[in-house]
Amino acid sequence: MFNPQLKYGLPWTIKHRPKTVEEIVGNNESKQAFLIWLKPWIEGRQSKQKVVMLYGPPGIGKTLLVEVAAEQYGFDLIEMNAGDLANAESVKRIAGFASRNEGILSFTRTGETSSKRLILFDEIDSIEGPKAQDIINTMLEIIDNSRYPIVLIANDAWNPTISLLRSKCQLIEFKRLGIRDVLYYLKKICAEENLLCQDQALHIIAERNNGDMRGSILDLQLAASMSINKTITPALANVASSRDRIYDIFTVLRKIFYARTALSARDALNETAQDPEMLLAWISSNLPYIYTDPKDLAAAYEALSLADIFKNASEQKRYWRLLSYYLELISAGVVLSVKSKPAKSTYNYPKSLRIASQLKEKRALKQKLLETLSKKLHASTTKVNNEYLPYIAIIVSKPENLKSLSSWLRLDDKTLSFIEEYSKSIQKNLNEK
Amino acid sequence: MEEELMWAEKYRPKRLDDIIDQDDVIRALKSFAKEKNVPHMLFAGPAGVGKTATAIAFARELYGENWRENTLELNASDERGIDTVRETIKERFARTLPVGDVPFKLIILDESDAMTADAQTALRRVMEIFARNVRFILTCNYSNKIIEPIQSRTVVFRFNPLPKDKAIERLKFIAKNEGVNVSEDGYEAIWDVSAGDMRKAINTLQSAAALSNIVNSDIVYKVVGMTRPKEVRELLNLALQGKFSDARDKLYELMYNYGLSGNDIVSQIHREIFRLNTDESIKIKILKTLGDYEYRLMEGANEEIQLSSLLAQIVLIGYESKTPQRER
Repeated sequence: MFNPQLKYGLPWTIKHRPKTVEEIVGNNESKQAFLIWLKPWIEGRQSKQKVVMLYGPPGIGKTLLVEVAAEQYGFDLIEMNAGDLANAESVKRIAGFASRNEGILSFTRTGETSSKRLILFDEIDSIEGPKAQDIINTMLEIIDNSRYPIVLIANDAWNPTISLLRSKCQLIEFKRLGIRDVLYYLKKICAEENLLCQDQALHIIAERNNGDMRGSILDLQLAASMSINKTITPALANVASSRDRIYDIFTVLRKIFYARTALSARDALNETAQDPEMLLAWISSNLPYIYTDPKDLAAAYEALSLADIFKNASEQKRYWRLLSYYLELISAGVVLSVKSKPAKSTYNYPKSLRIASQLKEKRALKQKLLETLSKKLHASTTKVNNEYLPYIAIIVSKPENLKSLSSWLRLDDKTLSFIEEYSKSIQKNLNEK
Repeated sequence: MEEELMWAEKYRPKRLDDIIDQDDVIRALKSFAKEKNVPHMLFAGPAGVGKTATAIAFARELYGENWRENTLELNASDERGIDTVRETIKERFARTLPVGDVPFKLIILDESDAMTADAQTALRRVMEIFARNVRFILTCNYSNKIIEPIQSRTVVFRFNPLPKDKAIERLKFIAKNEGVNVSEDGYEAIWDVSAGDMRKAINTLQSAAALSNIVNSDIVYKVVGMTRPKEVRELLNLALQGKFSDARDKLYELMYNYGLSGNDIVSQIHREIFRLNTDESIKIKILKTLGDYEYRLMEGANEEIQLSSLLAQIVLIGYESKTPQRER
């Protein structure tokens, strides 16, 4: 069955990933330099210059270039990132075997060994701490012994920790992408997703992300998930790109929903800079898609309901210890109260926030109207809303009454058309019965 | 004089003598006004029986044509906390001397039972601070929601629901004045839906008159149907059918489109429970859950979370009633 949710499940950075080196936009000279370096290895020859370092700001396609080139030219890619580089043993285990052409079937992407291998150490400037020297030494050893080409990737090539590595490499710099390059690719995605995008909206996204393609694409996806009729307006673009990185939210949600222990669920929440209120809105909004069993849904919501009560109590009584129960219940409390596994991740922007922001202008009009009426009718705005407004809506269905309402309250055109619309919706309500 | 659109306002009693059926209260108020000796007062009673109207009429009686200058109307449910109330009183009102020969001003604080106990405690201090030059009239639906220290500082007047004959008499007067043709069963129907709440009765009459030249019971019930969002019943039915997401969409509509508060929604669900076409045991289960969540709404901060959770619990009730429970 087609599930409209699914299309937002996959990050667009993966869904719209270029398939060839040519499709990767920007940094043309650097790309060329990389291909020239790789050329002898592509042709199955050895080369003196075994190691290259690609460096530059995040989100501009360094790792992508290596991955796509490996696929395109038939290399098995042995890839290690920050996590794998945390200690010398894992580096040795993975890259050590690979570089010496021993049985490393399980480490390759395709499952078959080809004669061509490419070793990638990603995010090497994340190497730090007391073990850093060990790890670097291991890498240097691997570089010396390897029969295969090695790529290092860093944001900052001049980080002193990696100076020894740097001296072994050919350096290739990658620069921030120009706005034109980012816009070109965003438009391409819009076309493939059948999105209607106003140029100004794409400009906002591209500019806010300052040459970061990954960030731009994820913001575009967020804006799309918020849009109603597949149109991306500048307003949506603004909301999307001003938010803390959306992929952070996706990651946090995934970590929470797939947590097996209370501790790991809670830690997922603690690690992020996201506002807990915002996360709560995301979690609540997505719950029914993640837990379809009524028992689980009820149990998960029970946790959220209690969490909200603790939060309010902590603020009312200024007893902040209660806040930790709030945080634990909206993360661990939800995930560990249920019996079933979470359904495949399909996280959407909270609908209630979307509706609330759409109705913002309308609500402001209504509030103004309620305040005007409140003075005239000697009643609070709540009372006016509940005990007068529904009747007024019926009363003004008679045109002369609408006129006299307008002169009675000296309403402007906007407020008048608001009340007219409200009146019509109430009558429609009747006709549907 | 500007034309009042709303009949409830146009026919609001202006003088103490116009107030219907609260004779004891009126007698006492008249003597206060005559002696210019006024205590703090608490008007308690159901909606639409004339508490606020009486307070304003009293101000007129007391101050004559200067009543507006000497009277401050505040709504407890609209003011953001007691600090605003205090500041408003201090800055705008209590500083200047009363106009005329009455040595104090009058503050009408409507819906004072909307205040939390803490706010009421602060209000009590405000009443003491300004006691020399300000008198308070508090109105509320339930006097037991007002803290004891305030009750003991006020003269409490209880307002009764209007009796049927008096209410219909008033409606007939309005109908005649406005040239509306109302059948006898029309009046009966209005009484049936308003039950002594004159505001509701007059609003219903005026709405019915806008829909039809002749107001009969059909038109009256039509008005009632229009004013009650059908979304509440739909929301309940969807939840019982297990359609959580659809039910929640209705919830959003009620909250963000109709502007209903969490309490409004719960109380409307409450009314609908008894009309549900389902097993009686299910009704009781929903009732228990509903009570629980009305309580949680009071204790919590995020109405949307509480109400979504309520829906999830109702979905579960509906689900368990359809699936045989092995445990039993």
